[in-house]
Amino acid sequence: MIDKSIQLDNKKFTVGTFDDSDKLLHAVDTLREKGVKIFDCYTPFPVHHLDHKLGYQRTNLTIAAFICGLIGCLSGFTLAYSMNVIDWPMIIGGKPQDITLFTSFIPVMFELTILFTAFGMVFLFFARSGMVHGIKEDLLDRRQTNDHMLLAIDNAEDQTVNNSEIQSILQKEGAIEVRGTVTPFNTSHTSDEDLENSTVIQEEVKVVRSSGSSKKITLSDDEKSSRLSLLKSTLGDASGKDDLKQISGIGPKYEETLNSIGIFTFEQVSKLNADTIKAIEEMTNYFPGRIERDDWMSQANKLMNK
Amino acid sequence: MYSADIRKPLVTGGKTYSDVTEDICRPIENKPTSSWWMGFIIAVILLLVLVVTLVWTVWEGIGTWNVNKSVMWGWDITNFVFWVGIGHAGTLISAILLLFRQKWRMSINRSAEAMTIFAVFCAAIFPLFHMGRVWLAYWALPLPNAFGSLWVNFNSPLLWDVFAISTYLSVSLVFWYLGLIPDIATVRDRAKTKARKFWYGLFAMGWNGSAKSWGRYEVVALILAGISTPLVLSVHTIVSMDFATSVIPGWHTTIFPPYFVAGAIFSGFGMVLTLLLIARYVMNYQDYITTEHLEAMTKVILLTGSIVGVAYITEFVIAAYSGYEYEQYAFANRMFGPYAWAYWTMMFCNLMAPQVFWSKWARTTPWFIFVISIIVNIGMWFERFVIIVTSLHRDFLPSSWVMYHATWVEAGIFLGTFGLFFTCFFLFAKFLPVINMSEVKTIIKDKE
Repeated sequence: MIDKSIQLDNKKFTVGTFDDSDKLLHAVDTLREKGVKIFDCYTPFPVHHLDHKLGYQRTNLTIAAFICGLIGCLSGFTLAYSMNVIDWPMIIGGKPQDITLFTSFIPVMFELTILFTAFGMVFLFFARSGMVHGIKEDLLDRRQTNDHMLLAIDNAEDQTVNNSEIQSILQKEGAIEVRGTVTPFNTSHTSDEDLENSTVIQEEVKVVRSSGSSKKITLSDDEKSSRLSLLKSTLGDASGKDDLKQISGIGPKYEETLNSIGIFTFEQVSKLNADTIKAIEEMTNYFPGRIERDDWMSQANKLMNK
Repeated sequence: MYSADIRKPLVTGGKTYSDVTEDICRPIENKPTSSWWMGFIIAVILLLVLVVTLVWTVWEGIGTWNVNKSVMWGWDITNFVFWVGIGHAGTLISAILLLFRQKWRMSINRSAEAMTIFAVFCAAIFPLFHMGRVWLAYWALPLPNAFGSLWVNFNSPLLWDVFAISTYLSVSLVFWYLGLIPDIATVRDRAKTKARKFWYGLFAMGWNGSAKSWGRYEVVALILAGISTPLVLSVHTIVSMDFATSVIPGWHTTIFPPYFVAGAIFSGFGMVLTLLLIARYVMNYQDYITTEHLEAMTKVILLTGSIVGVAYITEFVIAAYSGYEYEQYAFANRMFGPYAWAYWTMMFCNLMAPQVFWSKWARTTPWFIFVISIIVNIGMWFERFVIIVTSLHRDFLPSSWVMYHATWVEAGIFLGTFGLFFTCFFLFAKFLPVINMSEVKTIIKDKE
């Protein structure tokens, strides 16, 4: 029985993307309570209890481990006994040449137990998961191995509730992005240009953006200019340019974005207030609440006084 | 998220998941820095020294070494035990600390395991070349002998060593690779170049982080940790039996297995600290390998160093108490004989020096830890030298007493193995994620 959640066979999926493992776990709970069949979740790191919440049985690889170990142990004994007792007994240091040699066999039996268990485990793991060198990987999001946690629902599956309701549940649970029909793709076997042109990326354009706190907003020109003038009046003009990257939460790319809306110095960052933070978040689609959580204002204050 | 407020966070700098990915993939995705090149070139030069001295050994014969009929094991077996011992910290960190649920292991286990594997490569060179005809090394395996039906001797600890070391190497390798798969997949999905896409795609084996695979993966990792723990203890136990099962005074003691295992962990942590202190400085990983990590490791050094110290003293007391004159002489000879300088170097480096770690300042000051870690490395090399050479050079028969000093070939091979070790390590630091990203991402919000 090969794992279907590694090879996705060109199915179509409804995918909710999360950036917080607690939200993902909660979403799994809610969906399963409603009787929705979840195909699988995809996370960049092991999320504890996720497999229990998805209703997966604990793997019986542990039993296999015991059997592999037993085979190893018996092989060690058979090897040593058949060579040193049956086939060609050697008299060394006056030691006996019968089953009492057993004590000398223990180290080899022990090592082979471990060797067989380890290799047996790893090969069974690969076999059970359908993993093999050179296989193409089926991804639903390029960042599922980086920082995105996905909840995937097979569109072909009969569900108790309809697809649009599933999508709205995902949105309510705090998914940063919900997509209706996602086809699996792979990165290492496709060139970047092909990827850009493929339907996968087209899908992303038609993303059903989730509502609520983490909504991605596109502003009209008027709205933009009103926010820009708000920033200008509160923060004042930049005198020179500081290395904003020193603030935790600002990377090189986001620094450029900030520069493009007229924020260049620590002094300006230190003057941020609730209104201006909101304006920045709306204009740059930055993670809502991050600026306050990371407390850029006092970080900037400290850096200013350095 | 688990949180214990008396502890400091394990990852500092307020990192997000994608920050972790960015930071750790940076060396892989960018051109190597000039300090990388400098280190790598030095390592390759040392590696060439290894090649030259090994070729010379094979070409000219073991006579190029100063080992003789009394001291038949000299620097070669000293170095073998030294390198095998160094490997032990890697498995201890990734297996034993996993079983103990010590989360601080997560940002150091990858590099420590890599160190294990490279150290075992270095170790294997010595017994193989000491055989003289290295191309016949496969005779050590249980194969039917073409010159009669003679098999290997299962009574011999040297054969146990063949099984132990090869099991250790291969199990460490699969354990390491299993841990790498999710991270290789991360690099694959960020890859911009064709070559990177191909190679990381090949080794990621289609990993996509599905919850089903993760569930299985965690069980497999736990079982591997569970069996690696007795493995790591058994390996140095068996190495110690190479000595303990003989009748040579100074070797023939039952304290050897625990004493060797403690010494191995001690020396391994010494090397881990040396390497990580350099790596965290050069690669700017202070947020991942924090002073908390350093402090935890120095505590292990303090503990195992003290165990080793107690073992030295016990060994001496038992020799004195035994009333067995050969044993008593062996120890008197170690302390006051012609190799007394090596004995006292060992005592200073292993027994005294690590005791400074009772002080909090010493445990949290990187440059100072670095100095002590070097001292520990030196001390543990001398421990093996003292055990092997002082016991052999004066045994039961005074007419066969000799002195032993290494030749340039033996010294060159030892120096060269550092070249092999560091060449491997630099390549690893360039092509693979040095820190286990997927594990670190589970703890960036934790305090423990």
